[in-house]
Amino acid sequence: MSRDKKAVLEMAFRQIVGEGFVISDKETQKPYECDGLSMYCEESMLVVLPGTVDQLKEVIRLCRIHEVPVVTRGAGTGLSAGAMPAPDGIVLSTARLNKIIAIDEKARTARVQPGVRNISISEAAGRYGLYYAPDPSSQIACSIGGNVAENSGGVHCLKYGLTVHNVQKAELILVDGTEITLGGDGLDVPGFDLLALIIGSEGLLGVVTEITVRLLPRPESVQVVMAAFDDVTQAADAVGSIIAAGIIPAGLEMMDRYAISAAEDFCSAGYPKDAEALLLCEIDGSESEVHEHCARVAELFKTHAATSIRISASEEERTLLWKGRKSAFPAVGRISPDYYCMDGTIPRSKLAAVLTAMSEMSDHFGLRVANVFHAGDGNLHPLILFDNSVPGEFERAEAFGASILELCVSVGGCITGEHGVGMEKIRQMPIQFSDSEIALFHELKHCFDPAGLLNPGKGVPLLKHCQEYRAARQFA
Amino acid sequence: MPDITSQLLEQVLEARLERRCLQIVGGGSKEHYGRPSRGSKIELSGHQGIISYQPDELVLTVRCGTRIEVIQALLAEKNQMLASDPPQYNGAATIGGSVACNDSGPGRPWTGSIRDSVLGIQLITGKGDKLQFGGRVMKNVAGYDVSRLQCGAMGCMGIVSEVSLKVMPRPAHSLTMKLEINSHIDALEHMSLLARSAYPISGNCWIDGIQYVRFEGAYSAVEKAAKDYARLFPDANELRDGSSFWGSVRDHHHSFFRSSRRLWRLSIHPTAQYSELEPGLIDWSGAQRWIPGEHNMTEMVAALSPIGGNASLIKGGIGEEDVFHPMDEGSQRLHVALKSKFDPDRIFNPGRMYSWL
Ligand SMILES: Cc1cc2nc3c(=O)[nH]c(=O)nc-3n(C[C@H](O)[C@H](O)[C@H](O)COP(=O)(O)OP(=O)(O)OC[C@H]3O[C@@H](n4cnc5c(N)ncnc54)[C@H](O)[C@@H]3O)c2cc1C
Repeated sequence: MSRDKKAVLEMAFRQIVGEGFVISDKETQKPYECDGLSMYCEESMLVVLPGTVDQLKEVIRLCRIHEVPVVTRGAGTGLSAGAMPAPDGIVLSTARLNKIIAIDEKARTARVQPGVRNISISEAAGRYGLYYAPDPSSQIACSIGGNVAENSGGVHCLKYGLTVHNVQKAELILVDGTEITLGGDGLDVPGFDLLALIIGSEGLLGVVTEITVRLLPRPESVQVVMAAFDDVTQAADAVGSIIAAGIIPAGLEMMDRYAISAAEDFCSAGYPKDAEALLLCEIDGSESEVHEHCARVAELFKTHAATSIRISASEEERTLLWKGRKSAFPAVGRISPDYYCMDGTIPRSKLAAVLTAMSEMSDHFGLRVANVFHAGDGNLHPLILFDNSVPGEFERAEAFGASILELCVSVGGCITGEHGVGMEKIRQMPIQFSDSEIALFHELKHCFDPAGLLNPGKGVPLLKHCQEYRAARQFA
Repeated sequence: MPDITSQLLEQVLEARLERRCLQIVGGGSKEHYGRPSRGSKIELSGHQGIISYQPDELVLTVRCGTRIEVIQALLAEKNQMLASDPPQYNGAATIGGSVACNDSGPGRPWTGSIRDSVLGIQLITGKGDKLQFGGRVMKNVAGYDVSRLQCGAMGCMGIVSEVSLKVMPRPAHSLTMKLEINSHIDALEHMSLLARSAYPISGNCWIDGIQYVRFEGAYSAVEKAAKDYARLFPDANELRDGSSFWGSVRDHHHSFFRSSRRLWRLSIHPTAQYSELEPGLIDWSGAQRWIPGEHNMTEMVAALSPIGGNASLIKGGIGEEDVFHPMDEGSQRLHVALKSKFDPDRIFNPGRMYSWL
């Protein structure tokens, strides 16, 4: 990027978005260098923060004319380096597009700008007794635009679905300036389901400028049943038995020994630290239904040899029991200088085998691993503990992570359940997809962004690299 | 049951070589849906069978020619179901066709569409490639969501030869209440009131001056909802044979569907009101309305334009007439571009969805 071009663009962007909303100096750009995966860092040419959708469109228009790469950024909490800048491009921040435009109480929807924080939607809908169901653990910070881009989930997605199940309509702008509406006011729209295609497309196809989400009525009652096990297989089987009994819990989470003890030290939720596995099962619905199902779940835990069972007796107790799980990441962060969060999915029946294999890998790589698991839907988050200040440790953690992803695919799962491919897992794409499938992904991208200006180099690997990766694995 | 994927691939390659179009046919139950297409038929009804079913993982993988009726019966043995309750049309409907048309039953607003339960697919493209997208696990965000993109695409991008779906437990209890409400305006008001409650509703429909609401879920919750409802609306009473009523709406057996008039289906904002379009059947808590009448697409588009929503002509389409609501220029361009990537020679179902596709 020539200095002149940067200066010209900087001036032009300032004219569009206002003096204070273009960041060009290194120091102020610092927070934009990475997302939640801070090991992946890059400096961008400029950071631009439009205050209106019209300004955003103007910014995109200039980028198209000058062929400047665009990396859209929500809150930067992503965990796959999806929002990591392109060195010769701009970071297009949606931080100022943070208005809740309208809440339609009757249709139970909320129309919001992309920079609105996930939790703000439920806060605003609360006055109508409604809420937005998908609740990533990062919900106090992450943006709904980022959620759409990653198809984010949360602890409640077994029952209430992922982002894709809870978005009704979105406005999208393509790099060539085309504006399209995806979805509609009704439930189904004739034609290809472009809304589904955009959700989870990691900012590679267009910029989402407005989103209409569905809201749900708050359940009358919510309770959580916690159970400890001294055997992981028993815990996994207990999960299967709840589902086989026809109960779909609102949330169903598992933690392994490391995660339990880290979480307990962090927030004293009352977790039994000697347990091999801990299950948290949340039931919601009407008063009587919750009562009935909690009793049933506790019974099933007992038959699967739970060593202790606790049913929340109050809202405070429920919050406390969840607190440990919700703060598992920072808790693990306390027992290790750094950690690397993976995101594979597996069929639940393979859990015990996967955990055993993982502990062997842990010995092999000489790094500890703690596991939290969305047990209901088979989404595993191994947290690899390492020390970035020790030369070579991050590389070892990455290699360990790659092996975990390969393991997930080999048992019938996939390389990412909710964090996305981004920059981080791009090398592992060829384990899950054939060359023809990857070629089709490139063609799909080409339909939306022929110049390849959006999030260049992310999400889908070049075919050349796939072949190299496969060859390297053969000889590994 | 045989796996005939290789024969299907051969047929596609042959057709491509001969530049011959293919009409994809599952159970032939949805001939009323979409426009007439052309070309020789590629029959999928022989491509049947359950590939795997793991009840405690809630995951089912089937070949596309498997009939919905068969799938539901198999799932019922384990007390599970396809939650979107796709129409069965006298048992003829297949899972492939249901995915291609994204066809859902009356529970759609609460239990989701078939698109919502799709986890992964095997797709035969117009190039004769056999590709795999998504998977057999609940969550998978690697690559673009090509699986859900096929839902409602009416086979225009390829043949969905296998599909993996999330299944759900059957509700422990189901109960339908009915209440006389003469005007459709009052019915919409009533539906909207119910929709805002936290009751376990799974059906909310109005037809022939009667409002039907179905409660499904845990026994206690359903009983309580029905009791509350009867207290609030003393004229309401229980419909004894609820399942045959909902089946008749879902499968279009109801006498309403027997009229010889053209039939339009609107997908719209659930509380929207249009004075000029009087519905004969309101379903999905107001979000789906059926309008009998001789209107044409231009009239429908004009009537809907002030409030939004879209119209599909489900019955009585004449000749080359377009039956689905037109889309904006940008979306249309993307449709054409996508079609050209999946099916470059345009061999699959030409014109079935739109004259230009
Ligand atoms: C502690 C912690 C816990 C987490 N827990 C969960 C969890 O439980 N479940 C889960 O799914 N994820 C979780 N995440 C990951 C992350 O929060 C989600 O991926 C989130 O959706 C990212 O939102 P964001 O606004 O921060 O997006 P960013 O990180 O800013 O961006 C993510 C991607 O979206 C693109 N993007 C952003 N906005 C737009 C837009 N308007 N249009 C087009 N593209 C856009 C970006 O280009 C980028 O590729 C967690 C992260 C952390 C740090």
